[in-house]
Amino acid sequence: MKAVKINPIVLIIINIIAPSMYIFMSGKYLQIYLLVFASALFILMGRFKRLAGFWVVYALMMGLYYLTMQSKGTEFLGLFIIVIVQSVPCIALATILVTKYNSAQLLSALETMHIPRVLVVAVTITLKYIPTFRREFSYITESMRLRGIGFTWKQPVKSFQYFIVPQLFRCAALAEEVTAAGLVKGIDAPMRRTSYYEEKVTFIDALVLIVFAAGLAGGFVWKQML
Amino acid sequence: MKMLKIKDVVMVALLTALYFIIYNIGGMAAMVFGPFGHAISPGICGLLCGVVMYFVSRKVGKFLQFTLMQAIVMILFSIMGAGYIPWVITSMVAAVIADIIASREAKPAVWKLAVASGVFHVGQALGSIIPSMFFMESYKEDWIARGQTPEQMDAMIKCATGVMGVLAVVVVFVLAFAGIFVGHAILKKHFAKKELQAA
Repeated sequence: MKAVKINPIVLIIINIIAPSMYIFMSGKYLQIYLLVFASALFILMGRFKRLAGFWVVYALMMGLYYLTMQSKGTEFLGLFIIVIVQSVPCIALATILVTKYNSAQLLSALETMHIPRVLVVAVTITLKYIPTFRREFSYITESMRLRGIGFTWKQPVKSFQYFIVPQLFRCAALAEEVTAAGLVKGIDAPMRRTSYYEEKVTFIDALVLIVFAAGLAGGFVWKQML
Repeated sequence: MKMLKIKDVVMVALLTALYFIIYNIGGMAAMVFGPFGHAISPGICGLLCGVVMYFVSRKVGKFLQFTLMQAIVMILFSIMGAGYIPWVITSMVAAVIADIIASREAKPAVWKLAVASGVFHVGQALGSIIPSMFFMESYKEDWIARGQTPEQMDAMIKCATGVMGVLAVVVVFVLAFAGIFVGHAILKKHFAKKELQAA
């Protein structure tokens, strides 16, 4: 089956609308519906490895939830976990935004939402930068290891400092590079930005949104009938 | 009063990514303390992220820097499916107030920045405190639908209303206030060195 291309804006709209629906329908229904819907999207987009990872995380968290709910002492942890579990389908869709689409595609998609350009640029940069932190922190821990510096709870501020200061100044250096690259590409030009990746809403995008809305409507009707 | 340029936007965006990660780690750590931990989680994040806010203020130092930071955080949470409208509203209002307090000058006094950070994080805390005070039933209903038990919601509302609600706000403010001084202690020598080099 050929992988379907979905406009990133569709994923963003789904993620913004989905969590606000808990007030209108049964939490259980929405939880299961989002799980099935997100899985179907993963299959449509041909992201089978990510789908498997998503299911493993979901199953582990559900297991942890049932485990913590067995005892009164750990119940509050379980109730916290279940809130995160409900966000797992949305977080999984958000990871696709970060990994599948490049910055230009995200910029083009977000610009169609008529959000101020400053915010569009900022959100795109933040979204693309978050996944690189694991690598950045591994560099820092490696440097600390080479210098014989370890994290110690006896000096929490000092240990925190070793992690955070290099990261902050790395951000500052990176900001110069990203700004220079952006300026070369005319990021601050006052006219409407055009892109090789003009993200238009296709028939598939509309269909995905209609199915999503139909599922939500079904949940609403089901709650009324109960 | 200087406004943000594209270079500043990029800098704030990158630092917000760091803030967002520390915020999530701090938020999860706060959950260990139960319902009161949930109420004061923005304060714990403020304590850990004070160094980032201090750095933003010293490196960018322009009006609307904190508003942009908060807007990015709120959009990221919404994209991740964790958006909550009252939380977004109180957080954004507080961020604008924080900017009015500490972003009208390039290098505000540390205490002003600490107050701004306190307000910034109290705004986030009020996102759960205000609904549980004034719209208790719909707030409760919403979170029960999200999987919480009625007993747990009662405990959470107890920690966010009345004396406990006021206490939570005070604790959040104090922790976020302290976070800036921790940031100042960590970064002052780095900035002093830079200023010496510039001179």
